[in-house]
Amino acid sequence: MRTWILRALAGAVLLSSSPTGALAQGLDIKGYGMIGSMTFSATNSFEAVFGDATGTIYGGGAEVGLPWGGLYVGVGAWRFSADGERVFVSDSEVFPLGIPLSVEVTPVEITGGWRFKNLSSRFVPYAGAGWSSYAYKETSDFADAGENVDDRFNGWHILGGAEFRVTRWLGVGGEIAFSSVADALGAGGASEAFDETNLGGTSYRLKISVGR
Amino acid sequence: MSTLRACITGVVCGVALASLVWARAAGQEPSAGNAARALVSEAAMPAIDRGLRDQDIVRDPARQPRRPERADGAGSAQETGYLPGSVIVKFKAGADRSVAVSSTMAQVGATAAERPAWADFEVVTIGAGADPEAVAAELRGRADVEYAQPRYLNHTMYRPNDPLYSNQWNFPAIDMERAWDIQPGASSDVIVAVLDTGVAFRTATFRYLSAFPFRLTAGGPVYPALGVVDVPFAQAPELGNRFVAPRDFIWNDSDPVDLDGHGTHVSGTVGQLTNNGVGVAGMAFNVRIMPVKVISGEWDFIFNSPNDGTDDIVAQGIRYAADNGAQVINMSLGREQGGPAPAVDAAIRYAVSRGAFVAIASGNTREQGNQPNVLGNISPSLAGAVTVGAVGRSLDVAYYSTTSAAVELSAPGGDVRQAGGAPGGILQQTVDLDLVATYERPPSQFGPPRADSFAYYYFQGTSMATPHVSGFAALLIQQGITSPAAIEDAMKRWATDKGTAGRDDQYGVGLISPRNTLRGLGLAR
Repeated sequence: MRTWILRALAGAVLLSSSPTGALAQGLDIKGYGMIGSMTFSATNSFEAVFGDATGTIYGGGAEVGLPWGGLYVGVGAWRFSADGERVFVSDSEVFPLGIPLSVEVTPVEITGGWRFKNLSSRFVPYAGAGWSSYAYKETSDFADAGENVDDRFNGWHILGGAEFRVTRWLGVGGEIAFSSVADALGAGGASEAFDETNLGGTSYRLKISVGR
Repeated sequence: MSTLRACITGVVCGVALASLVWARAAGQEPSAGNAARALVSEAAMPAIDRGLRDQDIVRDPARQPRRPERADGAGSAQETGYLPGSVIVKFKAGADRSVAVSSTMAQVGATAAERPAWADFEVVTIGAGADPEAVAAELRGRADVEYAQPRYLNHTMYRPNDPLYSNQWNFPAIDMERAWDIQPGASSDVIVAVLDTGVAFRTATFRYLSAFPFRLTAGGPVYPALGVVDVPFAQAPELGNRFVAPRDFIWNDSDPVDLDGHGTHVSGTVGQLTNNGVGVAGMAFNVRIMPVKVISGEWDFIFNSPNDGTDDIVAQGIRYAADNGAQVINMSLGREQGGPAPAVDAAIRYAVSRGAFVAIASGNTREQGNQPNVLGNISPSLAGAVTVGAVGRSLDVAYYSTTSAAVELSAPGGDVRQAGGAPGGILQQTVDLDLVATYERPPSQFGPPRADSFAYYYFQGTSMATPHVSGFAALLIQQGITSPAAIEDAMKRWATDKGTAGRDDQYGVGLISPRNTLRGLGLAR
């Protein structure tokens, strides 16, 4: 997945820097890299297993500014991974069991939104919403075939942020996003014990974009 | 004058020397009056391992728990199920104890009242002819009495069988091989108290006095008194040297040696040495075992032990274990006769409040009226204590396993009927019953026991199922689940449902599943 993200990012950069093609037709295309933090809605479950419901995320994507005002579409992917341990939960008390456990969450997000370009030439707020697809992988020691989890769940997200154009081709920005991936959790594990079913959460992202 | 002085000096020295010799002799040789035993030697011959005894018919599998009686009939509790001559009384908090004791004694004509160590109740001595149940009922009517009860007798919960094969089917049946992959036998940080008939925990020779003839059963043949006998004991080879805080409430000392075999067998299932290339395995094979003797066997009666396995003794044993660091208490014992057991109930609550998980046998009375073990009645209402039923090799409820509303979990206890014979029993090492249970022979062949020889026997009973749960609890504690209530919760969370869907009186919530329980919860699965 990391390779896929890098390839997508490189492709977006190449496309955006091309003197011909879409750019020449009036479309703004840029690629971006992102690093941030994600606080999962299933707070108790993540805290039980990892000791913290917040973790680092990183990823990238591409955005295309369409020739209708500030309308844009984008696709991005990011990744969260953490190592923790299996637990037992009794009456909301958590007992760590010392059995290593790893989780990887890799969402792909397709977003449509609006850039408020007319406010400033270098400072561009934006907002958007879209569809998310979260790949969820959970592995732990002493697991039999079928006891690990490798699944994908769909949800939605909304986001808002602002970008500062450092140069014509380079921008930095900050973004806050909220996602909901209902019924991805809660059928077993600590999430069932805490009755937490949503894999989404709130993320804060720092983005560096190349392109226009 | 000097001659007189020399004579006096000689007489004084002679008397002093004679007194010293008499004192030593009195200290070493038990007498009929003091009902004691004496340690003769710390040393003894090494233990003898006689291997698998799979052709012996050890005892009649169908027999009921037995309490011998003196041939002269003195102190018999054969029919009543409780000791004559005393009752247990707990006064309410806030009552002036000295006033309450004296007025109680006056009310029922008691001659003495004593609070034992590790107890919050009094043992009140009443007239030998008084009815303890009637006296207890009378005392329960007092405003300052929390409870009063006869000194009901408890017994072990097993049925030995006649073995044919060497096979520990019980551990694979609950997936223990994979459970040990996760948690290999706990560690010496975990202490499991085995409240039982004692454990073969040390090597020594004890001197006893067999002072009176007796009958094993009412109307049975009279066995002769043996006089002073030296009994050699040895530490069970398969239990290793990992015992802590031993205590004997039957003999009031710290030498809870086993002249029955039950406690040693139970201890083996809890923590028999494993992966040592010898013998068989145990559930939590690295734990430390606290031998606490609270059940008297035939030999304890024959040697006139000062105490029997009454409720007050069991309660003291529970409190002792909890106060001395036991995190798990195994109670393969109980009684079906008599009324409630408030003294034991209070002790179990105390132990759980001190962080000890308690496992109690459900009983073996299914074909004899199915009366539940009174001591297990508390467990459904107390998180951290469970009552355990037994399954056989086919994992169906054992034919003897008492079914009741108190049964919360099931574990392998053996069932010779399911397996078509002895392989359905639970195999562990214990004292060589050929050499211990000499009272099973005709009176003419009756002789002193020896407990320095060991063999592997198949037993069956909820007594055998209970230590599976206790050992399982020790593994969970080592894995990180330290609260008694959470241990019970975890065991039930992953128990394999048996019988009718959900909890039922045969299996409780179901058959224990150590591997899945030890593995616990991930985030999503």
